[in-house]
Amino acid sequence: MPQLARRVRVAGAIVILLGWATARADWSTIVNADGWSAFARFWTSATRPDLSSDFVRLTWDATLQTLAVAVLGTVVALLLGLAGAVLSSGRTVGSSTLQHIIASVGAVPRATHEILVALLLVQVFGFDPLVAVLAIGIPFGAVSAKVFADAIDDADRATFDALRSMGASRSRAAVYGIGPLVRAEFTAYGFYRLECAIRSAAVLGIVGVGGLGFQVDLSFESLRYREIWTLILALVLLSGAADALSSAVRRSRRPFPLRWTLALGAVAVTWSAWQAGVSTSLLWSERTRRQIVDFGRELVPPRLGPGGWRELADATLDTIALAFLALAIAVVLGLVGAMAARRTPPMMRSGSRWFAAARRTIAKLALLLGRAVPAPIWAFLFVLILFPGLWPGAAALGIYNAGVLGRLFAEAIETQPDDVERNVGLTGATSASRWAYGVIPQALPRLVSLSLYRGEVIVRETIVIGVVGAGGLGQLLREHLAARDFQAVSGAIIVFVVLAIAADRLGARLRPASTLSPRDRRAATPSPSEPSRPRDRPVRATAADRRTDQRDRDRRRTSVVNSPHEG
Amino acid sequence: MSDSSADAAARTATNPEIEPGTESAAVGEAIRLRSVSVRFSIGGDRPLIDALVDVDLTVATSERVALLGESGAGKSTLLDVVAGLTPPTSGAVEVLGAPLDALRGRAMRRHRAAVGVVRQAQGVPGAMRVVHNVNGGRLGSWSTWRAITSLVRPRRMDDVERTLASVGLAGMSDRTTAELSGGQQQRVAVARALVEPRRLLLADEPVSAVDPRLSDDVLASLCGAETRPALVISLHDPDLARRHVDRIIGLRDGRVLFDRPAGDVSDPDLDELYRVVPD
Repeated sequence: MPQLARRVRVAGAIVILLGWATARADWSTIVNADGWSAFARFWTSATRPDLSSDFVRLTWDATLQTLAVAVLGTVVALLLGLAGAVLSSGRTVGSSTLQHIIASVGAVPRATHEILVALLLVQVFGFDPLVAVLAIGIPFGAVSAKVFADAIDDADRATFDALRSMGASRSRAAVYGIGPLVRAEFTAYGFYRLECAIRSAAVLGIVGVGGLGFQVDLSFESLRYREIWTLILALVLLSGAADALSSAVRRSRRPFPLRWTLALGAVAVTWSAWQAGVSTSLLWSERTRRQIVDFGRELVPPRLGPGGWRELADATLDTIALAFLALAIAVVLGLVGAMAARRTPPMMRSGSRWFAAARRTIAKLALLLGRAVPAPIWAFLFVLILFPGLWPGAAALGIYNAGVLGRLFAEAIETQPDDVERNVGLTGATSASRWAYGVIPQALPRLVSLSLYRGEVIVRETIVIGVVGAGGLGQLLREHLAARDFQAVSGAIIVFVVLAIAADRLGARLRPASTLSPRDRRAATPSPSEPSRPRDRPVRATAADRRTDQRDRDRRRTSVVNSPHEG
Repeated sequence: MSDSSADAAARTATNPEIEPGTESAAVGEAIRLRSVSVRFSIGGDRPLIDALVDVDLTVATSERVALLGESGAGKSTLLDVVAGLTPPTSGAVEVLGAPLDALRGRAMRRHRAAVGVVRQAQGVPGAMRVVHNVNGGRLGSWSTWRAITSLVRPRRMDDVERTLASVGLAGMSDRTTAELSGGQQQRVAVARALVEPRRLLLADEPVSAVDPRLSDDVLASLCGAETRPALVISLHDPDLARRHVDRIIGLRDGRVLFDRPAGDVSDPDLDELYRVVPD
């Protein structure tokens, strides 16, 4: 019975929130009929991308630029992440004060979005590729630091303890005892970050730092839809290649030799720096130093914009409504997409095989298109057919994230054991009831968990949507930036960061409740009756500790792949 | 105790040039436990477990001692307490003349570098080459720089080769550890403990996955280390213990059941040790 009451409460909360968000977004005037012809023209140009040699060459250059920026951004992120992890893991530092300081400092860049960092850095460095590199590197680095630190803390402790007991310092014991255990995971994560960085680099182009996004923006302004499709095609190919590379790395059994990794990394960095034309001298120049100081002075103290509290409160509520609507759209479309894209287990196949294959291919392509086209571009499109307000932004974020969630959902469903479904199927159930009884109940905790993670990302991504003018705090931020009212900018940023951190906290609170049984949670809390442990000395893990470790690791593994910053 | 005196204690403990007997009586002893107890919580509302109860134990320099007892008798806990991996709930632990709870930081690491440890969970990462796993035993005396560069270009290969040969793994140093069998990986862990000159070796069932003939070889190399370290080893095979050690300690339910020279341990002693308690 309490189970049922809980479900009713959850469903009630969702309905109320949806109702509120819809009301806020104003349901009455939504479709703008005038924009249909342009919208239709955009889609009909899909079959005829601009393949003239000039434009293909331009696309090629922009693609290389985006790739180079993404590679450099990833390298910066991973170096920051490693350093941050080593400084914030209990295993490597031991002192809990330093560990806590680093962990709380990291929460702020983790709660930002690449676009936000870029908007601020542009004020200091001007339009330089360096801005895009740092804009990717800083927030991704903060996320990586957390993921890496968790992995270090969760790694099996046998080697670490044995080395420590023979006199190794924490750092040396970590290099020999934990390094080899986490190396494969870190490498896979690095490639996964590269995949995200490519998408991010494309989006960053829209704030004017070059690459594919920049070209898309230009073509959009001059309404040359065929060019846009060429660029989208390039982006799909590039992220597809990164995707393939990263899953190949994930699947490989043998670790790549260390010296080859270092050599390849050096080559990639050199090429990217040359290709992107990053001027590192900019980092240390006297002018930059002055600019940073001046800009820093202009940012403090934070204060309200001309609209006062009301404007800020409105923008905040808009952001929440926007995020919620987008999440709802993404979950529904993602689930439909995942169901259609899923490979049916052999026994359960019925009907024409050809039809099933076509259905799967179309669904997969649709999901791929959804996530390959950056959210701001979806927003440009929806601005054509929907009246300005929250709907274009919600639709854009919803479709983009449906592409991401659909793939994660499909993976979650395909990797779960199918014996329940088979048993349901043996009773002669229809395909719909097979889903309802055999697939969804088993997958539900993971689907909920993935959706909540996605919700956290969406809250951050509202800033992108806002920057192109689709409402919420992002739009407010853009207006303040345009007015060069930097104190109001920092006020809005603080609200945004607090909102993002609150979303993370809320997600973390809801998640264990839906993915762990109460017994698991009890076992995960330390027992007060344990012998007191002097700090700074390794302690033998009890059997229960070890089991909890394992469970945490399993959970974390999911979270590594679906961590909040995928985008 | 202040840091400086802890430091002094550690120096005495790890400096092999100081003649036994010239400093204090403790130098003649590798290990001294005084009424050591350890209790664990295994989490939740389950009762506490008494892993060790009031254990008094002294092991002399260069003495070789075997721990016998059924699973759960406290052998691993005892070894972990001596290795400093489990702090005792009550009681005092002195190892190589230094009280363990007084050691901190660098002094503790220097102390520990003189102790070779083979644990039951061997902890030899499969993704590493054998040579690096063996060199892991030297990290107490290496600088961090040396430790990291050795991963790119391994140092002291000849020492590693010699140590590996002594546990029957000649020519294996370049292999990836995961390619080795379970028994071979166990011997990599033994080689890691033996690669440096030690004054105390602690080994927790180091031959549980090794065949009988090789077990004798591995035990011989543990007992025959050049620096004549004291050795405390937990074993499941009483005959193996009697062949290799000076003294056997029987543990049951966390208590010392008997403690006598290896030659004096009788079959009734062992029956008592492994007796099934009638319910």
